[in-house]
Amino acid sequence: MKSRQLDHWPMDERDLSAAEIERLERELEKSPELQKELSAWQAIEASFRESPMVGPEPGFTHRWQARLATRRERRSQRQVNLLLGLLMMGAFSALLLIGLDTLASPAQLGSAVIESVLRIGKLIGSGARYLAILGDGWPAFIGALALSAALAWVSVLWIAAMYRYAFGQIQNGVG
Amino acid sequence: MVRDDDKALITAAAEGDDDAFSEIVERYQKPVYNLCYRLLGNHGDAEDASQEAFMKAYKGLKKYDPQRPFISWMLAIAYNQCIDQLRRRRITWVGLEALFDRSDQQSPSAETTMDARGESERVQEALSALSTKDRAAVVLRYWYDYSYDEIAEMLSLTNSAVKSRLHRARRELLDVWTAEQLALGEGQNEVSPA
Repeated sequence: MKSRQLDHWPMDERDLSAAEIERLERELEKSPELQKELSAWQAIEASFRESPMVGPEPGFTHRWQARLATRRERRSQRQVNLLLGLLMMGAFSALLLIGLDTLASPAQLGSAVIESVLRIGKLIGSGARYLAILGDGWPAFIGALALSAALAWVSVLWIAAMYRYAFGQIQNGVG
Repeated sequence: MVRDDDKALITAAAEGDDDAFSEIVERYQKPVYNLCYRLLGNHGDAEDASQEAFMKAYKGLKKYDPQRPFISWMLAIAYNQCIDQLRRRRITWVGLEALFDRSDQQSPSAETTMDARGESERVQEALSALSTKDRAAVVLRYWYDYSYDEIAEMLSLTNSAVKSRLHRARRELLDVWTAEQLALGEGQNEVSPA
């Protein structure tokens, strides 16, 4: 970058004190080069100030609203996919347990199902006991109640998500 | 500070009123879009960046400090969005340049004669010679009339860094402008009869 006379000045009148403006004016009288540079800068500044603020195409707000709606739709779709994934994993695990028991004695499919249900029940019971221990002597039924409430909440969420999923599909004309 | 009717809109929007936020979008779209356009240089990218900036503001409205002017907060978000977009664009360009040899191609702007271009386009081209941060400082200073302190806050810089960036930007602009003026003069001499 080549050195200029104007480099020693801030080139913006707003940055100069009255004394500095006076000094600049004296310099300008002496130096035609400085005069040339200053008038070039003033032309640039005038172009900036005259160049209007550029606005978007009409309908910007509507496009923003549409974008927001699309984002929300995508987010709820992701939540549904996650819930469905979790449900499938749960179902697969239960089927695996039942399948392993049935492989041992294929004739006893019914008892294998009952046994798996009992096993899940025991698991919930253990969870409740663990919660009761955590609760420092709280009665076990409070733990069980909390766990049941949590399970009920997950079920309600799942049903709501399924409903929204199905409803969304109809609205989009997909389903 | 924040206008009273703006304050009411911002409070309503923060409580989940989408119509209130739509009104905010309506009010501030022009300054936000202008900043994005000046930084990114084309309307397609400016539209996308300003839409995304409003989206981020909508999500982060609870973090907004009402002591600060809303427009400054909004412009800071838009500036950061433009920086992200430029970073992504640079990655894309590197990828494309690796695929195609563009050295023998002329850009459309090079084919356009200087005097045929509008003043606004000349301003935009002069600005494009600057680095993004310098460009942002110039735009905020000359289009929005912000003080050094306000620019420093928006661009996360110190006051002296803003001053030195503006000083450097002005020098570069002067170079670009002078070179253009010279080219313009030569072009006119070539077409004028001997």
